[in-house]
Amino acid sequence: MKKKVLSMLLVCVMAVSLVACGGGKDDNSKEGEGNTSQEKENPGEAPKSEENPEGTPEDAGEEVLLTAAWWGSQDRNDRFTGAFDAYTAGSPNVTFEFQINGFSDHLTALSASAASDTMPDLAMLQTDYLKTYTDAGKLLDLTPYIESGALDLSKVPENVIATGKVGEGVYGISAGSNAASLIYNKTLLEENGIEIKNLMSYEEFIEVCRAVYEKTGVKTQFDNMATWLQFLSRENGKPLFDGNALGADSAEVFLPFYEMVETGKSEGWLIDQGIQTANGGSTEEQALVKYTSPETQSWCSFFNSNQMVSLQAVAPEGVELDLVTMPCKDPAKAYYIRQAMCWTISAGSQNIDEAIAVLNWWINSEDANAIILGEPGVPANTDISDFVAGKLDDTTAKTFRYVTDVVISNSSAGDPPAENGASQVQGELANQVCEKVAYGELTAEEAAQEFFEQANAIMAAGASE
Amino acid sequence: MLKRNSAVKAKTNGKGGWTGRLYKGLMKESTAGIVFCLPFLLGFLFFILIPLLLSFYYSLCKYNIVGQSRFIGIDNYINIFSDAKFWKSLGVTGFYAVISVPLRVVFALLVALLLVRDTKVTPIYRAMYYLPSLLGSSVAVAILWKQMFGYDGLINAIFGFRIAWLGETRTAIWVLILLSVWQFGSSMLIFVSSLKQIPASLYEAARVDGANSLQNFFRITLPLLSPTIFFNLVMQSINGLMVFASGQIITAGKPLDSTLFYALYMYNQTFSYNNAGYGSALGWVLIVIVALYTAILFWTKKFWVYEGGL
Amino acid sequence: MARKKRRKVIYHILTMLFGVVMIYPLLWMVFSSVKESNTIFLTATRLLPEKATFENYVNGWQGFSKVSFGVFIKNTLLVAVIAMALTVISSALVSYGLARLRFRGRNVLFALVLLTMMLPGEIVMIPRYLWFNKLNWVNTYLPMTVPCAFAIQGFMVYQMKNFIEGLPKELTEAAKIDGCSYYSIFTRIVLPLLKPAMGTVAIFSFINNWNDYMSPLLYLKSVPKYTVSLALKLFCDQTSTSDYGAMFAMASVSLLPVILIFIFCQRYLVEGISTQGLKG
Repeated sequence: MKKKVLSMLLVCVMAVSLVACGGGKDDNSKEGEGNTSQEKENPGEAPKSEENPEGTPEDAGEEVLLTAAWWGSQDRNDRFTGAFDAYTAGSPNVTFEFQINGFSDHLTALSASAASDTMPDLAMLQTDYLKTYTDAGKLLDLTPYIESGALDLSKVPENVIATGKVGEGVYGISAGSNAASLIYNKTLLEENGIEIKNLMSYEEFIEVCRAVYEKTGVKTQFDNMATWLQFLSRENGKPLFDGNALGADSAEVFLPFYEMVETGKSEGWLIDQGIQTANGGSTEEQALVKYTSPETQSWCSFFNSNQMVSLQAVAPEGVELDLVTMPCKDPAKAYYIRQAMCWTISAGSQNIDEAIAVLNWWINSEDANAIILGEPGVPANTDISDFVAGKLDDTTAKTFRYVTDVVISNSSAGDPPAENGASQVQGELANQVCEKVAYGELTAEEAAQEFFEQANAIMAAGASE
Repeated sequence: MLKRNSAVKAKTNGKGGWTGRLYKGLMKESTAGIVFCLPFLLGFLFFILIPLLLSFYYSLCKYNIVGQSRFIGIDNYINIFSDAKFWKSLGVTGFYAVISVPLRVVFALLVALLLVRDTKVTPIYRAMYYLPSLLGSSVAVAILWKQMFGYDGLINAIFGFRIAWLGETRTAIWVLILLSVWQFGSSMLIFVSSLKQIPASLYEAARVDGANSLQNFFRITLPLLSPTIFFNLVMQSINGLMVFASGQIITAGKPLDSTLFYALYMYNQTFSYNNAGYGSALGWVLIVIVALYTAILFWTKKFWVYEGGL
Repeated sequence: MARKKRRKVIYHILTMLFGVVMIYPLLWMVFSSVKESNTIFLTATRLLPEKATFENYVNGWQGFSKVSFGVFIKNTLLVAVIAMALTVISSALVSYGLARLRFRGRNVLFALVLLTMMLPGEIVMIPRYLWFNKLNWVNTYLPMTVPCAFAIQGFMVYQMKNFIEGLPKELTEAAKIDGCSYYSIFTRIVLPLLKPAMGTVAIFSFINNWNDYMSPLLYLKSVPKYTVSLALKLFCDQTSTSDYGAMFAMASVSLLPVILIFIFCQRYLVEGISTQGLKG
C-alpha cells in the first residue's frame, strides 16, 4: 500500500515539476538579463513617460540597460557595437543589448516586438516605415527633447531633420546621408580604356554597357529598381508616391527604364536574370564583386553611395570600385539626398532619458563618430561630418565627396513620407516587374503598364487601413 | 488484499473525510485517465485552442500587427479569391505536393525493399539513407543546397551545366522538390518495419504455387503494405501542403514567385506586408484545404487499402 | 550458388553506391570546410582538399558582434535538452492515459491529438506570440520550452501511444489484480518498458528543437541569446561571399550534434519507429 501512495506522489511530483520547471527557468532567464527585463517589458506604463518628457531625474549610479536594433553587414555591426561599447566606457552604468538581423528579419522582429510593445529602446528604421510605426503610436516624438536641448540638433540642417518628420512630430534622426549611385569596377574600365562620367544620360550609359560587353564580355546588372522609377517620376515633376497612389499619371512615365532593360536583354549585355536572382539580395553577393567568369560578372551595380564601403570590402583583390550618378535625363529634378535610415526611440521605452542621451551622443560626439566613421553615410551633424571627413579611408572618402561635391549641387528636395504599401511596391513589385522583363515574360510596354496598375492597386489597398 | 484496502480506508477516514474521498476518486480509472491526460488538455487549451480562436478573430479584422486591430467582417475572405498571389501560391504548393509526395513515398518504398534484408552492413546502409532526413530543414542544409545548385556550385561542376538552378523560374521549384525527395528517410524506416512484419510463410506458399518475385510483390507485398502506404501518404501530403522552411530559407519565394509556397505567402502577408488579418484568413483557408484533402484521402481508402489483416 | 553470390555482390555495390550519393552533399560540405576558403569552388569536384586547414573553424568560431559560436551552441543545447526532457515526460503521461485507460472523452482527446499533427504551425504563430508576450516571455527561452511540458506535439504522443498499445496487456492486467493503482502501474511497469519509445521521442524532439529557426527568430531578441540556427542564418547573410569556408565550417559544426546522436542512438531510432503499429 505504501508503494501505491508513493507512486502516486511520484506522478504528482512529476506533474508539478513540469509546471515548476517553467517557473524556475523564468527566474533564471530574468536573472541573466540583469534587472532590466522588467523595466523594458512593462508596456502598461509607457504613456506616462511620454506625458512627462523630462522624466525622473536619474541617479548617476543607476544601472540602465538599453536595447539597440539595426540591420546590416558585419562591417556595420563591428562599428556600431564598438561605438556603443565606447559609450559604456564613458558611462559604466549604461550597458547595451543588441538585436541584429538581416534586413527582412530585422523588420519581422521589429513588427513582432511592436505588436507586443517590446520595441527596442533604440531602433534603426527605414524612413518608408516611419509612418506605419508612428500611426500605431510606437515611436517617441522627439520634439520636446529637441526643444529642451537634451537632443541637440543645432548643427543638423533643417532639411535633414525634416526627413524624420511625420506630421508635426520628429520621430527619427537620420543615421547618415547618402544618395543613389552607380557603383562600378574602376579597374576593369580603366584597363579597357572605357570612359565613364557623372550625370550621364540613358544613351551614354547604354554606350558604356555595350563597350564593356564587346571588349570584355562582362555584363550589366540593374538594381535599386524603385529608384530608377522614382527618378523618372520626379523628372516628370511628380513624386513616386502621392498619397495613396503613384504620383505619375500614366504608365508611359516608367517606359524608358523598361525599354533599357529590354535593349540590354536583346543585345546581350544584360546579365542573365537567373544568375542575378540566384545570387540573392544582399549587397555582398552582387555580381559586381562576386563572379567567376565574364558571364557571371557585372561591371556596375546600383546602390546607395554608402554601400560602396561594404562592397569594396568584399571585392576581389586588386579591384577598385568607384561611383558616379545614376543615369538620368534631368539630375537636378531626379536626384535627392537620401536619409533613408534613421534612428528612432520607442514610445514604450522605460529609459527615455538615457536613450535620448545616447542618441545625442551618437549624433554630436566626435568619439562616437570616430568609430562609426560615416558607415551609414555622411553624418547629419555638419561639424561632425567635417571632423569625420578628415579621418576617412579612401573608399569612404570617395562616397563622402560624391554626396557633398556631386549630388548636393545637382538635387532637389526628397519625396514626402510614404504611405502604407509603399514598402511593398518598392521592395517587391518594382523588382518583380523588372525581373519579368529580364526573364522575357513581359515586353517593356506591358511591364510599365503592369507596374503602374499594380502599384496603384497596392497603394489603394493600403489606404483602406 | 481486500482487508488491506479496507484498513487504509478506515485509516484515511479517521483522519478526515475529504482526503479519503479525494484518494478514492483519484484511484478510479475514469479520473486517473483525466489526470494522465491533463497536460495535453491544458496545453491544447492554452497553446492551440486559444491562439486558434484569436487567429480566427484576427482573420475578421484589418490588423497590421504593429497597431490595433479593427473588425471588418468577412472582407479578408472575400479578397482572397481575387488575389492573384493566393492562386499562384496555391498552384505552386499543389504542384510541389503532387510531385514530391508520390516520389518520396515510392522512393522510400523502393529503398526499404533493398534494406529489408539483414546483412552485417545493413545498419550502415540504413544510416546512410536516413541521415539526410534527420537534418531536416535546418539552416545548414539550406546553405548547402543553395551552394550545390549555384551557378558555380557542385552540380554544375560535376555535370557541366551552365544553369543558375535557383534563379530560373522553371528549375527552382525542382531543386526544392529534390531536397524533399532526398529526405525520404522516415517513411523508409516505417516501410522497413512493416515489411518485416509480413510473414515469410506467405512467400513460401506463393513460391510453391510457382509465383515469380514480381508477382510476389504485387500480390502479397503491396496489398499487405497498403495501410502503411496510406499512412505515409497522409502524413507526407500534410507536410507537403504546409511546406514552409525550404521556401523561406533557400529561395525566399523567388524567382518571380515560382517557389512562393502557400505558408510562405501567409507569413509574408503577416510580417512583410503587415497584413496580419489577411494572413490569418489565409491560414484558415489552408486549414480547410488540408482538412478537405485529408478527408478525400480517407474516402479513397476503401478502394485500395487492404484492411483484412494477415 | 555462384549466381547467388554475384547477385549479392551487385546488391551491395548498388546499395553502397546509392548510399554514397545520398550523403555526398554532406561529405562535400564537411570536406569543403577544411579547404582554403578561396579554393572551395575552384576544386568543387574534388572531395579531398590539397591541404587541410582548420582556419575556417577558427574564423567561424569567433561568431559576430563579439559573441562566439560557443555561446550559441550552449544556448541551443540548453533549450533543446530542457524541451526534450519535458516532451518525453509529458508525452509519456498522456500517451499512457490515451492508450490504456478508459474514460469519457478519450476518443475526442485522441482526435485532438491527431488534429495537432495536421495544424499548420504558422497559423498560430502570431496569436501565440501575442499571448506569450502577455506572459512576459518574449526574449526568454520559455516560449520554446514550456509548451513542451504539455504534450502538444501530436506526433510524439501518437508514437508512444502506439508503442504502449503494442505492449502485452497481461502485464498491466496482472498488476491491477495485485491492487496496483494506475499511477504505480505507470511508474513501475509501463515506464520501464517504454524506454525505447521514449528514446525515439527524445531524439526527434532534440533534433526538432536544435534545428528550429522560426521560434528563435520571433522570440529571441538579443544576440547573446541567439540559438545556432538563427546565428548561422545571420552569419551567412553577412559573410556569405567574404568567407564561404567559415560558413561551411559553422554549418558543419551545427550539424555535428545531430550526427553524433544519430551515430550513437541509431538503434533507438530504427527500433522505436519499427515497433510502432500502424493503425492509421
